[in-house]
Amino acid sequence: MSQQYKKVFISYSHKDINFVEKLYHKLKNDGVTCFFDKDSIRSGENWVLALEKGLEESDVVILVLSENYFESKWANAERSFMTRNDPSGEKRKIIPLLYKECQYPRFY
Amino acid sequence: MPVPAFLLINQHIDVQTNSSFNQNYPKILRELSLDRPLPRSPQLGKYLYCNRDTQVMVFKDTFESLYTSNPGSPQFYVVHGHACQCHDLLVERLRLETKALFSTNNRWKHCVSQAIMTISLPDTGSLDTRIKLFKEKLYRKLREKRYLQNVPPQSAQTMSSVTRHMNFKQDEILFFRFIVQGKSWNQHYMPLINWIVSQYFSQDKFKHQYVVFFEISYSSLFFQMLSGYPKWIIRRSLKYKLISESCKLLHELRSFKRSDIDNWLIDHLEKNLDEIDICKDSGINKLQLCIPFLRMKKAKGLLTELEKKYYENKQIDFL
Repeated sequence: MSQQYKKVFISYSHKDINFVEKLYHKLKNDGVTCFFDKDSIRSGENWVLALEKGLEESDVVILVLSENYFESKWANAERSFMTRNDPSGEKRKIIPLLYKECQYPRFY
Repeated sequence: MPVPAFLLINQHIDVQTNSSFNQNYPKILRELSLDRPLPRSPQLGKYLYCNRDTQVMVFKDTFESLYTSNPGSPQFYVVHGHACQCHDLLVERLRLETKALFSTNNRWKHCVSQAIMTISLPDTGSLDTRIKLFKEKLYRKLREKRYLQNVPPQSAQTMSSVTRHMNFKQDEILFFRFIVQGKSWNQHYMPLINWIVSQYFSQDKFKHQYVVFFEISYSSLFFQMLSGYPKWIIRRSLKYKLISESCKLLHELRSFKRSDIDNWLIDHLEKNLDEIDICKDSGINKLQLCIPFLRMKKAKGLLTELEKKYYENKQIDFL
C-alpha cells in the first residue's frame, strides 16, 4: 500500500514562485495533496473564500520563508488566519522552510 | 501548556540551496506522513470538571414542574458547598440549561435574561438592619443593570413594586444570586432568607419569572469550628427552617470523585486515541501528574487497554 499523507497548504510569496512550483510538483508526484493557489483555485472562483477553505481543510501548512514572504500581504493574511483560527497550533502543524535568509518578525 | 506552533518557526528546515533542499526533502515528506501525529499536546486535566449532573437534574425537574404548574411564581434554590466549588459557574450553567429548556418548548412564553444579578446578603446588624441593607443593595444592582430607571428607592420596597417599574419589552426570566459566606453565618441569616422568600417576593405570581439562588459558601473546617457554625449546622438549618416549600435545597457541591476521573479518562482517550502515543512518550508519571488522584496501577491498566484498542484500529499487531 502506498504511503498516505496529510493535506498540505503552501503559504508563500509570489515572488518565490519558482521554488514553490518545484516543491509543489515534487510533493504532488509523491502523492501529497497540496493546496497551491495557482493550481487549486479555478478561474472565476472567489479567491478569499478558496484560500480560507484551503487553509481550513489543511492538516499541515508549509511556510516558504524569505524577505518576500514577510512583505507579502496575502502571506500575512494567511498567517493571521492561521494564528486566529488555531493559536496554540493544535489543529494543524506548521513546517517552516527557510528558502532565503531573512529577519523573522518579532512575533515569531 | 501547548507551545504555539508559530513560535517554533525558528526550528525551520533549511532549503536555501539545491543540495540542502534535496537533503531535507525526505524529512519534509516524513513530517507529512499520516503516521506522524499532529502536534497536539495531551491536555489531560484541562477539561476535567466536577460532576454537577445531580444538581442540574434536580434543578431541571423542579423548574419544569413549578413553571408548568404555576408560571410566574418565584422559585428559590439553595446552592451550598465549600467556597472553592465554583457556585457561580453552576448558576451560570443552570441559566444555560433553562435557556435550552425554553428553546425546545415553544409554548413557554418567557425569555431567558442574559444577566444574573448578584449581591452578597448583609452579614452584620439586626434583622431589620439587614433587611434595609438588602433592599438598598438590590435597588442599586437593579439600577446598575438599568432594569430600573428614574425610580426612587421608596418605590422599590418589594419585588411587586420593582416589577411594576421594570422596563422590559417582554416577559423575562431573571436570575438572582444572593451570596452568604459560611464563615459569617449566624442566627440572623435564616430569618433574613425566610423574609426574602415570604415577604420580599410575597406575590404568588409575577409578570416575570424570578429564579433566586441562595449560595452558601462553607469555609474550611478550622474556620467552621471557629465561627461556631460548622456546615452540618448550617445544612440542618437550611433543611428544616426554610419557610417555603418552593425553596429547593440542591445537593452539596463536592470535588470530583475517583470514578468521575476514571470515566472521564476513558471517555477522553477513546475520542483521542492518538494521544495515547503522546501519553506513552511523556511517560506514565506525567499522566499521573496531570491527574494526581489517579492511582498508578489504575492509570497503567487504562492506558494498556486503550493502547490495545488503538493498535487494533490501526491493524498493527499489538506486542
